[in-house]
Amino acid sequence: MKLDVRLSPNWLLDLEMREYRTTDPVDFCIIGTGAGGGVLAQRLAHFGFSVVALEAGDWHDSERDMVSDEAGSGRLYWNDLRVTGGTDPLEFGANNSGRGVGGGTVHYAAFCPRLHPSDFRVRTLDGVAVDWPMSYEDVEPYYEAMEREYPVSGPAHFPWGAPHGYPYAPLEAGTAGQMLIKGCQALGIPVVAGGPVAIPSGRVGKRPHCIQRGFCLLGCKVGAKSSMLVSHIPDAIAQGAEIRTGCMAFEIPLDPTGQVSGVRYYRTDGDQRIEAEQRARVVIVAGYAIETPRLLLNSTSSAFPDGLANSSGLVGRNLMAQAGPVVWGRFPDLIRQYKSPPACALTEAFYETDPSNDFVRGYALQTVSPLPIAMAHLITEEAGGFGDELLRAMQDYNHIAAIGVLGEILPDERNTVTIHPTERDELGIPVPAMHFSLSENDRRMMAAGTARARAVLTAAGATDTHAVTRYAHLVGTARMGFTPTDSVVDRWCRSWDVPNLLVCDGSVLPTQGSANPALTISALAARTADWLRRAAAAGALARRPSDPHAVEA
Amino acid sequence: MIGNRYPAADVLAQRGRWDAATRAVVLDRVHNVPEFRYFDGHDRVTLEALCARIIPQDHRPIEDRVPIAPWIDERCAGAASVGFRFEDMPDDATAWVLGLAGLDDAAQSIAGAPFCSLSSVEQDRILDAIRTGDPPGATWQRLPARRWWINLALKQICGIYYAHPTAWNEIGFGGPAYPRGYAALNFGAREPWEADEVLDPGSSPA
Amino acid sequence: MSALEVIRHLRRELRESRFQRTMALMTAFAAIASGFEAYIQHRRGDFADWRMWTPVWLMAPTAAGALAAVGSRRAAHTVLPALSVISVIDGVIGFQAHLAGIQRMPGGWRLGQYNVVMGPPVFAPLLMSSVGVLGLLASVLRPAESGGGAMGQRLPDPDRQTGLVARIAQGEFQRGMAVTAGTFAILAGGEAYFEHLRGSFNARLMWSPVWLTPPVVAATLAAAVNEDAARLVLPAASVVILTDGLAGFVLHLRGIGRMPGGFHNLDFNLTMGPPLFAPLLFASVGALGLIASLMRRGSEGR
Repeated sequence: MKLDVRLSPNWLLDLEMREYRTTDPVDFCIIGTGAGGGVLAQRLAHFGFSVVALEAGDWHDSERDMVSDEAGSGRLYWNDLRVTGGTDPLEFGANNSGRGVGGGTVHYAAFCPRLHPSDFRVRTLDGVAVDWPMSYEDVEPYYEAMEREYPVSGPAHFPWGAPHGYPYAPLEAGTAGQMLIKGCQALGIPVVAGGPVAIPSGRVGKRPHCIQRGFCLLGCKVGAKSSMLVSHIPDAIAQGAEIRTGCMAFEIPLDPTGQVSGVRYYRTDGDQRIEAEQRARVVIVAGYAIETPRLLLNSTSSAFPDGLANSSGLVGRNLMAQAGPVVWGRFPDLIRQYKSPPACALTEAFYETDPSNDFVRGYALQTVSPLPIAMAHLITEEAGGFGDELLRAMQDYNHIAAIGVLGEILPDERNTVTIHPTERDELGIPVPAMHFSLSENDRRMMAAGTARARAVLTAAGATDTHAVTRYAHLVGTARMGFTPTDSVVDRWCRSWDVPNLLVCDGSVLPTQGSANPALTISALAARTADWLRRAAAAGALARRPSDPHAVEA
Repeated sequence: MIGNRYPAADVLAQRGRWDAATRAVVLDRVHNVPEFRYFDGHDRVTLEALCARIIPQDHRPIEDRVPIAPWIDERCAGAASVGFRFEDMPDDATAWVLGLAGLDDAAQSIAGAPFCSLSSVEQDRILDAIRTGDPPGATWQRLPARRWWINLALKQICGIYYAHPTAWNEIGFGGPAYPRGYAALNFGAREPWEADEVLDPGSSPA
Repeated sequence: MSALEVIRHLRRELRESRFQRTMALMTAFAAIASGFEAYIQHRRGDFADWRMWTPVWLMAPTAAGALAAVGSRRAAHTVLPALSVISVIDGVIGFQAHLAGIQRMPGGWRLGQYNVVMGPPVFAPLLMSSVGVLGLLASVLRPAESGGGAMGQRLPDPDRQTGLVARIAQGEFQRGMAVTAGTFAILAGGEAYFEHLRGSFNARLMWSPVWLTPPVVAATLAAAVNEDAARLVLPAASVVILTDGLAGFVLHLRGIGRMPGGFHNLDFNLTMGPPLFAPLLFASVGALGLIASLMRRGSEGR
């Protein structure tokens, strides 16, 4: 079919997209088109495989569908019902859950730091959580590739983790970002300006450079901000992949030989719900950390009564969000934080474990620049204020600069995604129920990060500071590991239980560090794609990975 | 009563520089206020009273006030979802119905009259009780007060108010920016078309 | 007159420095271009410091004075030099203000690598000064087909000419002109480097003004010390620079058109897009080099 999706003022995606018949098995059926699914579709199509990517949502046309308006941007988010609980319940929807082609990368702020080498060895180094079944060096070439392909802007020398530079020059920070820099400089805290953020400072092909409109979280109408929509999906289609929108996967059927045979999904046609099944030789689930376990847990069979590929019992467990307290300060001078991308400066000076702390691991400080409604939500959440108190506080909007603390919450098996016993969504699919509670280490880390952010803002000249607890991103619910009992997938993102089923999205991260996960998810997807190319050629996808070192090919 | 910090602000005057899709969304919000269809007479009056306490607009002529309650009504009628529900809360529409009843419960308990017939000062007292999380009344045994107050009432009502150009003018927000973006990025400077801030000594931010 | 005769005529006029009008026109144009750029960019700072208005205020009078100098020798000797001196001073003040502005940015010089690129452009005010230098040169030259000296009086014996002004007036300013062109090349090339760095050199051609600057500076220095270089190397280098600058102007125009809203969003796109006139200032280095190559050196026969 001929596409007609605008991606930037100069780029109309009007390719002829190949369509596959549901009854003919494709090589790969990918569920989800976010940071993981988008890269996989592109890579696998490039390698010559037949690829169908199912996306529950729709295309986002930059001209027609994206608007410079908070309240008018609901279609970007996963707004279906989810139930949330625990002592520190997470919020979903616009906070962390995208919907549509490009997934969360359409509404993310585009911070794209890498994980640190230490993140892969948290158990060895700090005695908590787990180690990854791979090292930083295994992922490093894929980080470099993604930073080139998104692309990512940043300083010539990024000093933390494994130091490296960026292919695009730093992006200009607005006044709000400058407050982070000013405060850090005053306190002697190393800080970088202008990145790492996947908003190129110069033109990229048909994507103009950023015009500093500051509506990044509502979708980039300019096409400047890197999202899967503009970075990998068009190329995937050009190479023969099909992006099938409006398709909500509800079950992955297992055939009698113990392999998956395809994906069953619903399409909506007006008011009608139409059931379909795409046959596939390999299925890759990339629906992010809530929908992925939901799908697996809803895909029960006699072989897997507790959910597909769930012999470990870990599908849906170890749900992690990063601590994301927002700390804001009021300044005597004007800031006008709504100008320029929210993501423009950060420091990872407190990322690593510091023995003098009363907690292990750490946090990053990043710029966030809430738009009016987001700011009102922060203010009301802080004190429950209303009336003139609220209106007066909001009238200082242009004098406020906000910092986000991004902290490493540790995995906890009791933090889960399960299937709600009674609730169903509009398509009749049982909805996920989340349970989330902080650990003592988490609380201490958040307190320290919040205090640090207050100090930075005060050093920058804020007369008073405020803070609200928030969380960001979602990972961990189908984690990778060393053995079938301690994880759901192996180091190549292949499920231990089902040879031709992979999970390749944020769900697989065993720990999360204090780095926004998008770049890591994409890097893992590119790495898995390389392995799939070797493994498919070697016929390995029909055999169980009984030996963790089986297919290096 | 708050002052007028940006007297020259008029975001809507810039609508000719916005893209068509954004302009349509914002103008629709401004001009096409929905009719009430979910809440009945008493609930409707209570809801209006609540909105007027959370976002007081007495300083504005009636025709310039930002309508809020009709949009809450529309959300409930259309079963709009924000993508999650706390496990200790019912769905949004039910939470609103219960909450409005809870306002009356607390009002009866504290002041002996329904919420909508109280003075503003008395109404604020009721709301403070809910804000602290322990208001009187049977409803609040079933509905967590603080959660209802912050996550439903405040956030939804603010969300509607600060989606309106009148509120943008009040806080000096520049509004939509595409295809014309922002050029004055340093020192909180304004664009040539943005309004100056006018501080009077009473409303200094610091 | 045939084309060849026109060129010979122009060449003679140049050799005898009788191109005051042309230089005045160049000055007028440069004044408008740089004043315009100053206005557009200073708007981004909301003219927070009143001094940011000075290059804008100077634009009209300097351009008017330069245009007047085309028609009036008197204007060329009074109004134009006065405004030119003011322009030179204004540019130097601006240079200091920009350095102070970079220092005032969070992180100051410690974040120099970032702040020099993102802060007030370092070389731009000195390019404003260059407008003044052009104006001063113009005021000292003679108009075409004039018989007299710079001050309108009869020229005394050329062998007894001393003094810079007189030498310029008689076209014996090749060395000085070459050095002037080389200085402008450093400023314009440096500005191109920082601005293109800001755009991440997203197009290969953005490297051209950077790579061309060292050779052209070398060519101007060579021309200052060696007459053959002045006659051969400098004009070749100058034509390359001129072409590169003109190409840059066209590419910047195209770049502005490719931004959201294109030419219907000009007030914004001229500000945040590729600076429209900057490549022409780069091209003017080539024009100055060509002029230098046609002038004469001191103490040589006519």
